Amino acid sequence: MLRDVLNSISGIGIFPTIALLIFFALFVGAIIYVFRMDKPYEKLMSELPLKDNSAPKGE
Amino acid sequence: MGIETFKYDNKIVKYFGLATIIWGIVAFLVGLTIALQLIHPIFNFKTSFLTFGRLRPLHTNAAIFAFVGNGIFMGVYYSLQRLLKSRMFNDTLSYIHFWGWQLIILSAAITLPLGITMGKEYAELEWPIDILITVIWVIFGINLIGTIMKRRERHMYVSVWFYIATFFTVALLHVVNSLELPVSLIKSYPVFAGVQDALVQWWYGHNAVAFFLTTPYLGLMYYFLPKAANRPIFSYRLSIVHFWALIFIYIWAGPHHLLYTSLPDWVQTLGVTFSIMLIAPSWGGMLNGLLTLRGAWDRVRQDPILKFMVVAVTAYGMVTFEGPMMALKNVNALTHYTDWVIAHVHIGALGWNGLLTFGILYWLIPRLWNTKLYSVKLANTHFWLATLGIVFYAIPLYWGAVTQALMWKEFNSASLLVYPNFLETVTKILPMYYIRAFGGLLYITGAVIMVINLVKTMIIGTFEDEEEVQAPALEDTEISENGSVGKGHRWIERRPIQFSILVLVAVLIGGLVEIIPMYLIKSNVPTIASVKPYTPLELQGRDIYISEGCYVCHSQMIRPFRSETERYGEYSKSGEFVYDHPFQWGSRRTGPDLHRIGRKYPDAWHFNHMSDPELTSPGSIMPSYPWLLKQKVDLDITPKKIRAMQTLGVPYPEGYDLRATADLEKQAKSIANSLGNQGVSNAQWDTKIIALIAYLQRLGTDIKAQQ
Repeated sequence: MLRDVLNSISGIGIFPTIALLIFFALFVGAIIYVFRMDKPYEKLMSELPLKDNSAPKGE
Repeated sequence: MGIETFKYDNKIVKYFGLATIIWGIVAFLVGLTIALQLIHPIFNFKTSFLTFGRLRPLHTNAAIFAFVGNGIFMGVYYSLQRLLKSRMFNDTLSYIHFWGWQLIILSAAITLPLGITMGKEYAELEWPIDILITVIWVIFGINLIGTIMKRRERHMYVSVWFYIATFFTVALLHVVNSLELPVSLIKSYPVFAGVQDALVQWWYGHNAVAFFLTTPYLGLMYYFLPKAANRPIFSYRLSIVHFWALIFIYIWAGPHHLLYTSLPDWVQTLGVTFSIMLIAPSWGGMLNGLLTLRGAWDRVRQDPILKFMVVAVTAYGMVTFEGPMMALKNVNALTHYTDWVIAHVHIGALGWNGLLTFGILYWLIPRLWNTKLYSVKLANTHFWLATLGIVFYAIPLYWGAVTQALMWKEFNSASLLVYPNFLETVTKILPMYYIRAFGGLLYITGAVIMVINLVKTMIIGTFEDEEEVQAPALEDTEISENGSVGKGHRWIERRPIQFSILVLVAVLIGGLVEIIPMYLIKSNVPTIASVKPYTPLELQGRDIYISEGCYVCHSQMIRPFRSETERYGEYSKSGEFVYDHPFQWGSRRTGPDLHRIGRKYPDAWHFNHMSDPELTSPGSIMPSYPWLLKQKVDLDITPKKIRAMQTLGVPYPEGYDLRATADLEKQAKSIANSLGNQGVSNAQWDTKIIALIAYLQRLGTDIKAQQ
């Protein structure tokens, strides 16, 4: 079945390979990036939601 | 650096919040009603508007699009403004979005009980509503992207990425799965048929779970969990990897809904592979959420908000482990078509979506109304009722599912089915349905207590429509704190357009690789010469089948297992469905599979069975359909339906639309005659029951003719 489908479209055989490569590159890229990320920047980003100090007035 | 003063729009958050609460209660109540209908058909109230087949789609739509949908917008409109230090892009768009979305929900609540449906799960709404959904969704998107463009915070926090991914992917899924050809204002046919329709539908269906029930809620988790715990997210690095992996992998997993069906094997294998891979990014999100509370677990003991969130994230972890396990073919062979699937989705819906929504509401409402929560004690009571409700809901269904699946598959020493009567496997698990309904009742009781608590909170507090804040304007420079120019992900986090394009590429890859071959597969579905288009009467009957929501309880897909071919007949072939707009394979067998029901029983059996199932099957939980014996088929629309089918590629001869009505009448009269001969004297040829019988007697017989 797979072969029938692939044979009917010129060049589609390369599609899954390209998809896998893109995914792999993206994944590896993301991993490399996060390991090289500097601490102050990570701290800045992760604390973004806490910067607006909306506390209920009753507390 | 100029400090700017501006106001957050809290009113729109209030609107969506109130809608979340109201529609939540509605969705739960409809859920309880259909749970009772499965215990005893008396709860169908003998009216066409409230049968299980029509209410179940109403329940799923209300839970997904009304309850969770409004919950998403409530959380997005609150967190987006604060994360980006900016008011929403345009107030008018905000309120068009709000009222438009409520109008969609209202249309669904009216059309679904009337039997106006596409017959595709979670995409039941007819074409005018589909267009409205598209317009309103685009308005939401413009408002979202517009706000991002005029932000005062340079960096986009991880929640915002999840919102962007949600907007683009849901737009894509909805448009592709809603490609349909209108026949009248309230009726249309999907452009895809059979196997292709099934693949597109479950590509949509699975990703509706992914990009409507999961990614936006992860965005909410990344904002509200740190807020509630008052500590930053455990690992910002993990959130980057987990985000990209999740949106890339999710889009491939849809075919796991179609294992062992007529879908080509390679697509099934892709679906399984990516489903297993999904565990990693899903658990990345769960761990990130739970580990945020490291060192703060003592607070979880006291704070009901954190309790709700912890159990929600834990439910997310359980459900994203269970899902991939159910996508394994050998597990799926047992769990598919059973209540296991229902239990699974409710761990997600009641646990992940429900409890997270409750947690956010308890956090948000006191803040919006500038007061404290009316009663922490009541919130704790709600927490325990909701949690116990989920336990009482899910465990009996798992138990019943395994019991029923094993009964379906059991052979005796003479190689015969031990339970050849399907009904026996239904009545056996009815006690489990009682306990499930009790679980649902607990959950609703908790929700009602929440409503009381929140309303009291609103009464003692004072609501502020506009919240005035100050923030520095965004400067054009790109110098970060340590003086270096941003690179890599830091670069992309500042550029919403490039970010959006990358998200689209990530989700398109999976979609294209699976769907493009399916467009072209038409020539590759092994054609079966004896499979012919439906006769006009059968086509009308099929539309009644769709309208009554028969697919909600009956599958039309016999898997190639001996236990199924013994019970139902020859397994289903992809070539048999080429004229099925839409496909009606179903996903749950509350009743038996119907793909080979054709010519199995005499016409009179069907007539009696539809007028009252207990006449032919004592103890059946199927609703009775007496109105089908009285209501007339809309004969005028027949030529239009034939022409629509011709446009979609169904090979009726040229000009057949003009002869169709005569053919319909001839076939209908012959069925009415045969009913008369079998002792049914009150059958009129132009009633709906005749068309439905014609369709049921045709089902699966094209192959029988060949044998």
